[in-house]
Amino acid sequence: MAYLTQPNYVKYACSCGLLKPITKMYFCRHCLKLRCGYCVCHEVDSHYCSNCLENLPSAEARLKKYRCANCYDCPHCFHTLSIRATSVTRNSEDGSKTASKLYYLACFFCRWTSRDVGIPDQASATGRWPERENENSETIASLIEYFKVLALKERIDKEKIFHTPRRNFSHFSKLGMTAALVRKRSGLPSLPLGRDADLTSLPTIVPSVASETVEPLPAEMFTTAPDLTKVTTLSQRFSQPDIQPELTSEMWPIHKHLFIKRSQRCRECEHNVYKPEYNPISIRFKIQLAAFYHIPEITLLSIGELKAGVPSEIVVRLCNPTQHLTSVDFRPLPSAMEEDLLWERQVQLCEERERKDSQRTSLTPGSLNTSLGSSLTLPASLTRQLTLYEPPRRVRLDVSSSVQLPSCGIVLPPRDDAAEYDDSAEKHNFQDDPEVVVWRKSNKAAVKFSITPDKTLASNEEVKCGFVLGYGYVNTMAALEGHKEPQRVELQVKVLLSLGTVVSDE
Amino acid sequence: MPLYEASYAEKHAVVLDLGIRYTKFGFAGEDSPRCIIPTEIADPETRQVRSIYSYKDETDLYSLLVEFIHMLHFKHLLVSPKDRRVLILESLLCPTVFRDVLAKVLFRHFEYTKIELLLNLGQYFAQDLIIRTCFVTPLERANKFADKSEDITAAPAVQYRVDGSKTITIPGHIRETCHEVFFERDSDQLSLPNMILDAIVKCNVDMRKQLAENIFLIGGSSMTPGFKYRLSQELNHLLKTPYYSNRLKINKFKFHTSRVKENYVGWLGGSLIGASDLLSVRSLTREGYLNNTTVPDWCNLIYNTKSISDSFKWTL
Ligand SMILES: [Zn+2]
Ligand SMILES: [Zn+2]
Ligand SMILES: [Zn+2]
Ligand SMILES: [Zn+2]
Repeated sequence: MAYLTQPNYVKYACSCGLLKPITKMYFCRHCLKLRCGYCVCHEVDSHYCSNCLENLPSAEARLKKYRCANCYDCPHCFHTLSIRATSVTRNSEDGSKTASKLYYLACFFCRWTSRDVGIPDQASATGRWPERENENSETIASLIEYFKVLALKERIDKEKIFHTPRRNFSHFSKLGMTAALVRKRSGLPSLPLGRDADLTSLPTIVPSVASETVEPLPAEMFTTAPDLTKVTTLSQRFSQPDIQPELTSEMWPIHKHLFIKRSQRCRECEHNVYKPEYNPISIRFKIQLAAFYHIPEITLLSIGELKAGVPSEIVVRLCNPTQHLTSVDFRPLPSAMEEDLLWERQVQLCEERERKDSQRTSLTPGSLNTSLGSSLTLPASLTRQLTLYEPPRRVRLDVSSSVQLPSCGIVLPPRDDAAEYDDSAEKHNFQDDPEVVVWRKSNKAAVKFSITPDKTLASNEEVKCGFVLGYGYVNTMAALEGHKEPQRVELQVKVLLSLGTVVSDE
Repeated sequence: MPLYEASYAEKHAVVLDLGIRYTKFGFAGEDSPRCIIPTEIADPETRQVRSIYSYKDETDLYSLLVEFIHMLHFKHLLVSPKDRRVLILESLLCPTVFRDVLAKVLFRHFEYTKIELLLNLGQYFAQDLIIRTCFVTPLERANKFADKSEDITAAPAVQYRVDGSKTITIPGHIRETCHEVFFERDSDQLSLPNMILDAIVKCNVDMRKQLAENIFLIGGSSMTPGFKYRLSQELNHLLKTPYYSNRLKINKFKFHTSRVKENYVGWLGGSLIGASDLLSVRSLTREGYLNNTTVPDWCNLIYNTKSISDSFKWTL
C-alpha cells in the first residue's frame, strides 16, 4: 500500500526512456524488456457499468452510446442517482382506496430529485424512465446522407477524369473480397454499378433560411439580475452535449457512462503483458507480467546524513521475486555523451526499421491503387499496413552525487514463500563481504553503498544517485518455445535513487 | 500483421476538435459530440492540471497530448485508437509546431491510420463566469457606456459563488461590457464586424450579396445572449460609414439560426464530412506522413485546394 502514497524514491528506466517506479512497469517475457503504460498498446477489452456491474458486449455498448440503460447520474452534481419509493393511495371508481407504490429518482448527495424537473413518478422500479428525444437527429441524419452522396459524386467525377480500365482489377483484394462488400461492411454507401449510374439526383434537404430580423434582448435583461441558482454551470451543460440545458429546470437524469476493462500489449512482439478477466466482477488477471514479479526490486532502507561534498552511507534492500537463483552486480551509469550516442543509435534503428517496412509494403498489390492517386477503392485495413514506430526518449538521469559501487556480485536465492514464516531455515551459506552485505534473509539482501553528494549542491537541493543494475534472468519462455533448457540471460536496467535534500552545516 | 486481421471491417472514424478552452470529441456521423471537456490534463510528472496550450516545448506538448488523447479514448469514447481514422478540426491560427507534434502523436503513439484536417474558424473563450452572467448589450447602450454618459442605469449586479463559500459581486456594467472586445474599433480596424465586412469586400462582386445574406455564427461566444443582435447593429452601422458604403453595394444582412448549439457546430461539420467518403480522398495516410514528415498547411499553397467544406455551413 505504501507504494500508492509514497513519492517514488526508486525509479527504473523503461525501454522507452521514461523513469517509473517498479510498480508501474511490466516485463515482456518475450522481448525480455521493461515496458510501461506509456509504451504499450492499450486495447479496450470489455465494457461494464460501474454501478450495476452489467457486462455489455461491444456491439451492444456501442448501440447504447456507451451508457448504461438502467443507471443514472445526477445532472446537478454527477453523483449516482438512487430509486426511491413512495406509497400513494388512489381512489378507484367504486370509492374504495387502494395503496400502491410510485418510484422516482433522487440524489442522496445534493438532494436533487426527478420530481424537481417534472418527470412523472413511475409505477415500476425497473421500468424505463422517459427519454428525451433530440429533435435534430432526423435533420442531421438527412444531412449525413446528403454529404455521403455529394462526396460520392465528387469521387465519381474525379474517376471519370482518371478513368483507367485497371480499376476493376483493383477491386479485388488478395482475399477475394470485392470492394463493394468492404464498403458495405465499413458503413460507406455502395458505389453505383456502371459508369453512367444515375448520380444527378441528390437527396433533397431543406436549406436553412436566413432572416434579416434578429431578436433583440428582452427588456427585463437590463432591469432584473439573473438568478444563478436557476442557471446551469458549464460542466452541467456539457455533460449532455446534445441538449446543453441552460436552466436547472431543464436538466434530465444522465445515463451512467460505462467503464472499460482494458488489456495492454507489447508493441514490439504483440504479446499481451496485461490482460484482465472479462467478467467485471472479477479482479483477477489472465496475464499480468508486472515488473515486480520478474526483476530484482530495490528498496531504500536507510540514508546517512547528506552534506554537500561529504561521503555518506546508504543501505538498500535487494529482493529476488523469481523462482530461480539470480546474481546481481552494479555498474556506473553511462556518461551524458555515451547516453546521447546510445539514444541516437536507437532512434536510427527505429528509422531503419520503418524504411525497410515501407519498402516492403509498397510492393504489395493493396497499396498499388493508393499510389494511383485519387482512386482509393479499398479501405486501408485491407491492404498491408505500414507501421510507424515511436522512437524512444533520451533517458534523463540527472544525478547529483557520485556513488562507490561494490565491485563484487551478490547472489540472491530464489523466492520461497514457506521460508518467510520459518526463522530457523537460514540454510544458505554465502561468502559475503561484510563491508558490502549488511544482512540477508531468504531471498533478500541489504547492501551498503558509499555516496558523496556533489560539492556544488546548495542546501535543500535534491541528492540523486544512480547505477546500472545487472541481473541474471531465467527465460522460461525459451523452454516452452522448443529449447530444451530454460535459458539464462544477463540483463541490465538503469536505476535512479532520490535520497532527499542536502542539509546545511549550521 | 497476421492475415486474418486484414479482413476486419474498417473502424468507425473519430472527430476531434481541440478548442482553446474546450475539446469536443466523438464519432463521425453522429449528431452531437460524445463529450465536451476542458482542454486540460494532469501533467504526467507533477500531476498538476494544465491546459494543453500551456506547453513549454515540443517534448512537453508531446507528453501532454499523449496523456490527453489517451484520456479521451479510454475515459470518454471507450474505443481503442489503433488503426482508426481521425478527423481534426484545426484552428486557423494553430501554430505549426502544434500541428506537427499532434500528427506525430496520432500516427506514432496512437497508431491512427489516417488524419484528415479541416479548417475551423471558430474562436472560443468560454468561461463559466462570463457565460452565466454576462450578455452583449445593444449598440445604443454600448455607446452610452463608452461616453460615460449619466443617463444610463446598468443592469443589476450579480452575486457569483466561488468554491461554495466566497461570493464575488459582478457589477452591472461589467456584465454588459465584457464582450465589447469583439466590437472595439482599434487603430487596425480589427473588430469582429470590421473583419466580416473586409472579408466580404475581398470577395467577388457577384458573391457579396449572397455572403451578406448568409451569415452563420458558430462557436461558444456567439451563444451569448444579444450577440447576434449587436453584431447586426454594428454591421448595419458600419455599412453607412463612407469607407464601406463606397465599396459595398449591400443593403441588408441576413443571419442563419443554428438548429443545434453553436458551440459544437464546427464539430458537427467535421462529423458530417467524416461520415462521408471525403475522408478517404482528402486525408493524410501513414505513407504520406512518412514520405514528407510535414502536415499539409492551409497557408501553404501546395495544399490549399477548394473544399466542399465551405458549402456545408449554408445547409445547416
Ligand atoms: Zn515505457
Ligand atoms: Zn448500470
Ligand atoms: Zn446530486
Ligand atoms: Zn514484447
